[in-house]
Amino acid sequence: MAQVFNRRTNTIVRLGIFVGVPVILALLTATWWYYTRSDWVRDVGVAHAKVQPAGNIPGAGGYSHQLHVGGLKLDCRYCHTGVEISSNANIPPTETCMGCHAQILPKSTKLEYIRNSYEKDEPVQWNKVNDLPKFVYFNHSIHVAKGVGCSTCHGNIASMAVVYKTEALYMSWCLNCHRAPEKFLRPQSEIFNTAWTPPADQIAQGLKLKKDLNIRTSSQLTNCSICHR
Amino acid sequence: MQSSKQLKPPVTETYDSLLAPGQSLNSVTAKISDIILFPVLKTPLGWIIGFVAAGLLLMLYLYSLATLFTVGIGIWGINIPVAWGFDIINFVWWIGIGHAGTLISAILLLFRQDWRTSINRAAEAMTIFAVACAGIYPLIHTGRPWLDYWFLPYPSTLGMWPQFRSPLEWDVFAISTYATVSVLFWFVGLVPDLATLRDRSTSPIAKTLYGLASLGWRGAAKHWQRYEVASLLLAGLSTPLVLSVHSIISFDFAVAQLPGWHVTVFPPYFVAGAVYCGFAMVIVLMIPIRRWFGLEGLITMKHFDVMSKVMLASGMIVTYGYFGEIFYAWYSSSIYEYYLIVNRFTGPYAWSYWSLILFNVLIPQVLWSKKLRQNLPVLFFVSMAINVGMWFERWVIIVLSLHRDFLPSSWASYTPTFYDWSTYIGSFGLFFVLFLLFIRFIPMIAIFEVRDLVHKTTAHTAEHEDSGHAGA
Amino acid sequence: MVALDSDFTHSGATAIRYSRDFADKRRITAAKPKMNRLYAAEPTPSHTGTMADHRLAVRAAEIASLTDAIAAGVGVAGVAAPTLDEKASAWVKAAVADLKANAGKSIVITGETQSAAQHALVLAINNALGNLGKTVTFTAPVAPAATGNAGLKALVDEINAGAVSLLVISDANIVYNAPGDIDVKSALAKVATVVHHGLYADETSEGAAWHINGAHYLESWGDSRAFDGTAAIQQPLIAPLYEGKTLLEVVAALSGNTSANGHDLVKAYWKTALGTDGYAFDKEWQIILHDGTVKASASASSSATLTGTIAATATPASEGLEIVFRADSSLRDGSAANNGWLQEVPKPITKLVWDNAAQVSPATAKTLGVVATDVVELSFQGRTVKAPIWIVPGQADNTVVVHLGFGRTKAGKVGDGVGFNAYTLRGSDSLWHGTGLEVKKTTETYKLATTQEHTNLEGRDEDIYPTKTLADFLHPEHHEGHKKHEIISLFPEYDYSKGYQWGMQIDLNACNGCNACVVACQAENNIPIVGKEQVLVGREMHWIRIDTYFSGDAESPSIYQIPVACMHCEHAPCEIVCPVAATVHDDEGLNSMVYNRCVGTKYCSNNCPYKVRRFNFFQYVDEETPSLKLQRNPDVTVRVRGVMEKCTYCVQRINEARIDADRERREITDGQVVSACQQACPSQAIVFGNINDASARVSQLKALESKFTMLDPLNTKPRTSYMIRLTNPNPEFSGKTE
Repeated sequence: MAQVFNRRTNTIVRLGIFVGVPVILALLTATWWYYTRSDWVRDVGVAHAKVQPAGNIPGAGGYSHQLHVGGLKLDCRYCHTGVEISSNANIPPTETCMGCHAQILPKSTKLEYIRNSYEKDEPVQWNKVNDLPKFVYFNHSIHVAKGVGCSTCHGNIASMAVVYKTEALYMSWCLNCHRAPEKFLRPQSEIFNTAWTPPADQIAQGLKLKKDLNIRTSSQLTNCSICHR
Repeated sequence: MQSSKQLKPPVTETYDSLLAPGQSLNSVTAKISDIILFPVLKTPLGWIIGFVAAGLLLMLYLYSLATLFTVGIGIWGINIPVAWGFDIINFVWWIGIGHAGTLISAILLLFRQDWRTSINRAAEAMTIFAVACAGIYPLIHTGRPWLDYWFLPYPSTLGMWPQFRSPLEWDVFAISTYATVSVLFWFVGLVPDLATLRDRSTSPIAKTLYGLASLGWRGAAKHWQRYEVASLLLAGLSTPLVLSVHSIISFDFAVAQLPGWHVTVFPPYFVAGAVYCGFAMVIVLMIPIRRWFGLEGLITMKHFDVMSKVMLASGMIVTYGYFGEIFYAWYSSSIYEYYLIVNRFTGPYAWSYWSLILFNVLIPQVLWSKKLRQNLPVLFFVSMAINVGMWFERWVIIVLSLHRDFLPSSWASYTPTFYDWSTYIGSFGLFFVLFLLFIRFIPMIAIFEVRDLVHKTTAHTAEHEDSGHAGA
Repeated sequence: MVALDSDFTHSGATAIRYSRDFADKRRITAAKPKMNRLYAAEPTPSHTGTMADHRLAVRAAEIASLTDAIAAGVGVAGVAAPTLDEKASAWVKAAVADLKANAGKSIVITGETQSAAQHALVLAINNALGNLGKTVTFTAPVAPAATGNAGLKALVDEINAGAVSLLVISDANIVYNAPGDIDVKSALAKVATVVHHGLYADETSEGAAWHINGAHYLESWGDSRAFDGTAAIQQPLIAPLYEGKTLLEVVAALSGNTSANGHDLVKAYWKTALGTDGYAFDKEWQIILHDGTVKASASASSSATLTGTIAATATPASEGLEIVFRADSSLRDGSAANNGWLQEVPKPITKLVWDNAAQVSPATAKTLGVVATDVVELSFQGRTVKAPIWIVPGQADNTVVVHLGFGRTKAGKVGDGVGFNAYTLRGSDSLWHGTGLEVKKTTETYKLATTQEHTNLEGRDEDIYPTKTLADFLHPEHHEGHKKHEIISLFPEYDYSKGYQWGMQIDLNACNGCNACVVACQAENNIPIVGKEQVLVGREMHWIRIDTYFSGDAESPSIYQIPVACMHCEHAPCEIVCPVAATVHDDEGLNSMVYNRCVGTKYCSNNCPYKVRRFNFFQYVDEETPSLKLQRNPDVTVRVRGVMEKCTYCVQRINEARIDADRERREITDGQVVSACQQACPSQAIVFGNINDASARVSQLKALESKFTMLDPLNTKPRTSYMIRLTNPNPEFSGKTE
């Protein structure tokens, strides 16, 4: 009987097994790895429209941190009033905006949606850019109190015309700090400094801050019940 | 495939040898290959009916699983305290059955037992399909099965790993290793036979498919040498697996602290039990199959004799385990351990315990009698009884320990629902679909191994010089 | 104390206060190793009865003769001692002896279901003992004297006579809960205009021409008085969700003031009542709103003296079966029938859910030839209703106890058709009990769902519920028991000496099984209900449960109630078996359950010896209904199908307190973290706190000798420990001790 396959089949199959299969596996692994860890899958760097697209308010430019914080030097806490005392660093109510804009640019078309919201007593539907799943109970006040500055997690907000995520906010990313907070702590005076960078001796300073602020050990900080209840 | 109409009754059984007299190298190859090398469209009606029936059961299985995923685990009868029921009972039952195949293929290979040659292919296939049926259960018994991948130790964005001290985590490795090694071992052993089929078949499709599957096997001495090495290596890997896999399954219970679970005898007891019901299932499958396909010449009464002895031996170990548990209950001075046995003897599920004793301990005692061992209807009945008995054993271990444990306030009962049964019976559909496909397309007896046996046992040296060792 | 058909720790306006006071006198301390002693006589086991040292099961109709016997014994003039059976007279003798020995320091109390004559006689007994002014105080009545159903009967008569053309009904489901001999429904049909004001459209609103949406009490302004006269302002938590109106607003509208709102009405009243004006009133008003109560508004105690003589109250008790009506412990009169939580909270003693039953004692069941779940036909005064039987050890013989509040037809999708309507049997002359009941067997059976099937301790008393008499505890006969075998481990113990370590102590001498902790936990932790069918399978979701055990003989058993929640074991068996690390131990001693990580293998539940873990077999949580979304606690994850859950020691409260304390650079002090169960318990049986703080109450309690942990031999080292149940039986009375 004639052979069904010619001699070359052996080579092809061998190549397939020893080269093809590992290459395919490597490709699949790389795809999975980079996809799950990608910034893209978590919308890092994507500047959302400030106001919900469904609201579709023509001419609304949204809120520019670059202008208000970078240019006008508003402190974070002027609007995000809850960040030192509560778990939520709240989005401010329309009244806060109207506090200035009733007098400043009172007729600007770009601010019409604010005035509408104020008059109709309906909140503006902002896009939540930095969001965590509901089973993660994050508390801003304790982080601020213990030396974690805004820009560590939110990036240099003062430079953003439209806010975008600078971190993917993976659990492993949170654990990175919870396992060794000294890498990221800063003194209380620098908490709201959006352009802060860690000094050369960050670890030494961080360890000192850890002691002064009575920060818990890494074992305690990585208890599941700290964030998950 | 030969249709049963072509079988010629009555059949003369061989009792004292592993091969019927008059077998030659050619007759062995022809007998086994001819079962398969038949146009698909001419597949006999019996097989088709069996396949359709198995297919319907498979549909039932898929329907049960679909309902399970969309509605929830609550469609089963489990509750608090009996949080494991049919799901784990059947998981352990199926896995137990799989152990016979690996024992036959691997351990008997290392011990150079010739009687393994006729049955090892089918037994190993049974193992793989049983492990497939079993392996589905841990995946579906979880409340959120779409997250089952968290059992795997991969570097995740959660920055955390599975909890390796849990026996369920060990199961993941044990079962996946077992499945992988079993499939590899089975496939490696198949290669020479697939080459035989490639060479004997006349249909171009069959030739191509068998040819691809046989990986270019030419029966060269080099090939045989590599085969022997691979086979020995895999046998060496599989042998500890026979002992370790079911030991790890037994840790699912032994690591827990429930009375009736926290028992140190569990690993050997479970392994023996697995061998027990595994061999029983092999016998249950082999008796009808050898009849339907006229394989009495290759699977003789001696095979059944030896298998029954292995069954009896493992059955006695299991019986020792039962007596052990009763002894521990008394000796432990623990009111909880003591009550376990009182509950087994006299509680609301005592009927299951006594059925267990009947099916697993009492009925198989007939195997002491050589006459009865070699009486096929009796053997079939006893093997079925053992399979049922081993199911009852998993029921007794799981349900009776869970439903009445430490605090009487949590005592409750367990009633399996329609879906518990449909999932179990449906899994037989999966098993038989796979098994029927196996006997249709793959030689159910290891051709080259039986040829080797013929070569070893035959006194006709002339035949020996003519045929040689090479393949077809 | 002698309680004659009085469940004083559970029913009535005074229940919460009495629960607390009674428990306080039940607890012993090193400084004060004394306990009160309670004698209880009742037809069916009640919360108070389970706490009693000497409990007598007696028919409700015979309570009166018991009272007469006691009155004669303590020397109330004009009352002759009746003849009682052996058991009862022994009990009375012991009670009387104790009462006389403790004259001026004792109380005899009877329940709201007993007659006015009975109450008068009991007062006379207290008077004879010199208790008046000492243990019994009088204050001016708080509520106007209730006219009870005499008023309803009179109203129906008036309606039938054609005298009523406009009837306004507020928060009264009289079509449903009128006694069976008053036909309210056809009477209402005769009224020209019926206006119904209430929270729900119910059986009564069906016949009404008008329905005014009522406001829930949590949406309403109002005021109230406690039993001691203290006035409190009822302040709403949210604005009315469905534009409901309070009764104040309805009455104001009927008086012509249609634009009044509750707040203004209440404020205006108190302005007049307090007699201040302008700034002074505003200041006082703000203080009252802040405090919640009006200072010094409790009634002053007045004195009362007995004039004349009291007649004996007992009428010759008729033989035959007696029917006893009781308000359901959670549904009360049935107005809460549409509340799933209350339907699913297990009834005390019987642990039934989603149903009521005709409860009988084991002996009576035998006499009648019925077993549990048999359906019987109850006939009383010519009215019949079908009911399933349930057997209650410890109930008096020849008594059938039924609970009101079930069998509603228009309660809502939760409450409709649940149980049978016992109001139809009730007669306006026998509101709470009556004799002449007939029981007829039928061939039907009816499945009753209970959360606890097995109530026998099976000889495991020492590990689960050890009891001791006070005498034995204070003076142990020989030094046994406390020298527990030290369990040696191969592994080094974890160092829990630093930081906060949370623990809990539950005092079994204070717990009367009222279920407040069960419902509080459900409210705090977003625990779903599962319905009767699922409870029948065994899938109830309560994180804390009250286990009930009967011990001793079936005629007069001791009844033990023990709250069981996750013990947060230091050697937790559940933690090592979870394959995905969904349940782990944290540095503060809690066993954390991480819902988002749970895959649902349920191994943890199998390995938990206390069986405190609960599994979401289906999607039990209703994620659709919008109003339920408002109800949930946002600090606690809402669990989906396939996830295990259990008590977390209210970790959300711990975390909140810890974060606040850390932020403010201070330590958490004792009492700042209060678990929901602790907060709700009326008798303060549950104490939670930091066991590393030696001054914390929980640490002091755990240091007592009376502490025990459940299932000690398993060496799970639970953080929740209990105080041994101590009983204080009368040493001269060899009758049944509890």
